[in-house]
This record gives sequence, C-alpha cells and structure tokens, in this order.
Amino acid sequence: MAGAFLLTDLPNFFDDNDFADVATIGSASVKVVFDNAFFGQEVGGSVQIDEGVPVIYAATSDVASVANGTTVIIKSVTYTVVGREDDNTGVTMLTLRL
Amino acid sequence: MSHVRQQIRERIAANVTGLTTTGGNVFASRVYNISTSELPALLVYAISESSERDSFLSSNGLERSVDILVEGYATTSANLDSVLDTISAEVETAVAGDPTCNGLCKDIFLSNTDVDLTADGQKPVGSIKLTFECIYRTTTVAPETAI
Repeated sequence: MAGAFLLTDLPNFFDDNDFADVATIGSASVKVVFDNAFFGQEVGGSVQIDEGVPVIYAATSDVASVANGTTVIIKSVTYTVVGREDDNTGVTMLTLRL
Repeated sequence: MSHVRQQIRERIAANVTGLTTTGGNVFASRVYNISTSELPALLVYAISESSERDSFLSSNGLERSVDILVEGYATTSANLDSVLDTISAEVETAVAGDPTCNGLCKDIFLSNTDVDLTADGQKPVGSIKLTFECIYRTTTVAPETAI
C-alpha cells in the first residue's frame, strides 16, 4: 500500500502546467505524461526498423476503467491502448499503438 | 567489370524496383536501420555462395550457386501477413520474369521463405525473407564473366 503522501503528491506529477498533457481517453479528459522513446525494432531481418514506443503514465484512479482497445488522443494523434501496467503505488502506464 | 555475383545482385535489385507495393523503396546491401516512413521496402543482399569445379584438377569451369536474399519489410495496423504475402508474390513474379538474370545465370529459383512479425513498437512490423538460389558459371580465372 502506497504511503498517503505519495497519493496526495500525484497531482503535482500530472500537472499539465509542467510535464503533463491532457489526453482524451475514451470520452474522458485525463492528465497524463506522454513518452515516445526511440526503439530499434528487430524483425528478424538484416536491419532494424526505427520506431517509437508510445506510452502514457496517469494516476491509476483516473484510468481505472481503461482496458485494451480504448482510444487515446494525445497531441492530435489517435492511439489504441494495447497494454496496461499498474505499479500498485497509484500510477498506471498504458502502452499505445498507432 | 564487376564480379558476376555483383552483377546478379544488381540485376535482381533492378528487377524488383518499381513493384506495386514497395515501389522505389529498394535498397541494395543496406546496413543501416530503416525508418517507418521508408516502408514498405525491399532490401537485396548476396548472402552466401558455394562453388564446385567441373572436374578434378580442373582450372577452368566453376559452377557457382549464390543465395540472393530479398527482404521485404512492411508496417500496418491490420493484415500484416497479407501485405507481406503480396510483397512476396510481386517479388517472385518479377524474379521469375527474368529467369536467366539477363543471361548471367543458368537457373534461378526460390529456395526458402521466412516470415517474422512483431509488435513491440508503435505499430506492428513484419519481414518476409525470400532466398533465391542462382546458379551461374565462370572460369576460375575470370570471375567477372559469366559463361
């Protein structure tokens, strides 16, 4: 169980005046931190494919009902949720795909 | 004049350029990553070769078999395997349309096909690897001339 101080501090981490953006998840507006790190995709061939790995982090309480297949719009790009990882301290990472 | 192996590789790369799915995205012997904006694409390599003399102590005829690898890459959100199979059909047809590789080869045939699919990045990507075995002949002293 996360300490209460962690949960009460979460709004600071997801403040859209700092690092967070507002995403549309399903029909809800949620403050999230978006990341799209470079990834050299191995696909069994002679070279790698340059890709990104888009994920968003959000307060678990804000995305409690989000499941795979949910539509996410962030920075005007539409993604689909394909993975969900709750860290059990109040933050959830949603893995996205174009 | 270049090695016949190089001539075959370049001829096959030319034959698979401009196909419906992959268009001009054809790269010979590419070693650098591909960006998703360059897909679908084909990469062409000469990956291995074996050879055999015509007869014991012969210093003339050499029968060679070079494997030319044509790799197709694609990314799409749905039916990725179908796109790869379409690429395969287009490449096989193009290669078969020049069965002697402009007179360089005695025979060319598809000897192996491998498919890989993955979805670790932002969009599923896949590859189809088509290995064409190309039989050609040179003399031992003139590898730049097909006989």
